[in-house]
Amino acid sequence: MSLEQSVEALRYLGLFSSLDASSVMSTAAHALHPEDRVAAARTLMREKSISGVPIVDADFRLVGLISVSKIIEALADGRLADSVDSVMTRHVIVLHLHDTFEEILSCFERFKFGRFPVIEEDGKLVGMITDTDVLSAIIRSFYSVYVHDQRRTMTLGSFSALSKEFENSADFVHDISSTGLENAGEGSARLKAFLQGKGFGESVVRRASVCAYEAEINVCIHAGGQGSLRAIARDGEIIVRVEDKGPGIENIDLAMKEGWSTATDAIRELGFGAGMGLPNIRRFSDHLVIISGKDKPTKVEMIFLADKE
Amino acid sequence: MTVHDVIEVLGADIAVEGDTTRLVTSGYTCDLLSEVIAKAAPGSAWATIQTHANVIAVAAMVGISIVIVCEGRTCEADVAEHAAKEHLTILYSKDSAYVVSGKLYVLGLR
Repeated sequence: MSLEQSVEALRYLGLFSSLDASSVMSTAAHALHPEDRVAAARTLMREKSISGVPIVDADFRLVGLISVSKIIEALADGRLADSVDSVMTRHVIVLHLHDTFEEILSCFERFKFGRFPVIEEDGKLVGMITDTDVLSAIIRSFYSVYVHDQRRTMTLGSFSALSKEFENSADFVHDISSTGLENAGEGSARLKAFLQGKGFGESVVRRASVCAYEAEINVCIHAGGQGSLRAIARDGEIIVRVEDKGPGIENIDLAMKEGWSTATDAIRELGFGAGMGLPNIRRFSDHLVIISGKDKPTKVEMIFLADKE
Repeated sequence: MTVHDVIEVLGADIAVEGDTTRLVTSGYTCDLLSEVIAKAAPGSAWATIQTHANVIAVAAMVGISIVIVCEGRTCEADVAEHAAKEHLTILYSKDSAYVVSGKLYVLGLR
C-alpha cells in the first residue's frame, strides 16, 4: 500500500482524526540564527543526532533551514566559517500548528524530507515534526495511555487527567475490603453483572471486567486489600475507577512492563504476580490513566468504548 | 461438545457438577491467572494446577465452561461453594495438565 493509499484509508476510517501538528510535533527542537556559523550547525547536528536545523530571526520567526546536504556542500567548498545565512535553504516547506494528521502525512509523501518545521500563524517556529514523531503519535493514540506520576506534577501542577464525574456520584460502587486473596475479584464479578444488566455487549463487558479484576487484584496484593471500585456506565462508554490508600507504585514505567512484579513468592505460587496486571489493563482498555507515586494512593481509571466493537 | 462430553472422555472425578449442558468450544492450559483472564476464550475447558477460590473468579470472568484441576490436586474447602454458585463444573484429574490438554485436543478442542 502506498502512503497515498494509507492516507486515503486513514481518512475513510477516521483514524487519528484528533491528531494535529500541535499534538504530533516535538517541542524540544533546536534552532540557530542566520548569523551563526555553519560550523555551529554541524556541531549541533552531530551532538543532537538531527539531520536538519531550522534557522530563526530574533523574533523566532522561521527564515530558513540547514540540512546535512547543505553542510556537506559547505564542507566541500571550505565554507564552515561562513554564516548559516549564506548556505541555508530559504524556501522551507512548513507545517502549521493546526494542520491535520493527513496533511502531515501528505507532506512527508510529497516532499521526501526527513523533518518539517511547525510554525504559528505569525511565522514563529513552535516545533519540529520528524518521521519518528509521526510514528510515536500513532503509537500513543493506539495505547492512549496516560501515566501520571511525580514527573507530571512537576510540569503540570495540579492538572488532573481523571474524569470529574466521580466527584459527584457513580453508577456502580463497590468497597474493596479483603484480608487475603480469597474474596478478591468479588467487585469485578459484581461489576460484570451490573454491566450485563445495563445491556452492554459481551465484548466490552469482558474487557471492562477483566481490567477491573486485574486492578482489584492489585489492590489486594499490593495495597492491603483496602480500596474502592466504582464505575460510570453511559451511552456507549464505561468508565471504571479503582483507588486504594497506598503504598503506591514507586516506578510506573517498570510496573507497565510485562513480567515485572513486586509480588512475593507466596503470591506467585497462587498464580498471581506474573507482572501482567497493568499490561493487561493497557491492552484491554481504550483509555488509561494511572496516578500514583511512592507512599501515595494509586488511582487507576479506565475507559471502555462500546462502539469500537 | 458439552461439559457432559468432556466429563465422559476425561474419566476424572467430579468435584462440582455445574451446568453440564454448557457448550465447550475451546481449551486453555495455564496456571498464571492473568494469562488466563487475558487469553482464554469464553466457553473454554481450562486445565490448571491452581486450587484456590480465585480460580472460580477467573473462570466466571472469562466464561470458562469447565475447570480441570490436574496432578491429583484438590481444591480448598470454599471453592466448591463458589463454583456451585456459578454453576461451574470442576473435575479432579490424576493426569498432568499436559496429558489432560492432549486428551481434550484429541477430542477436537482447539
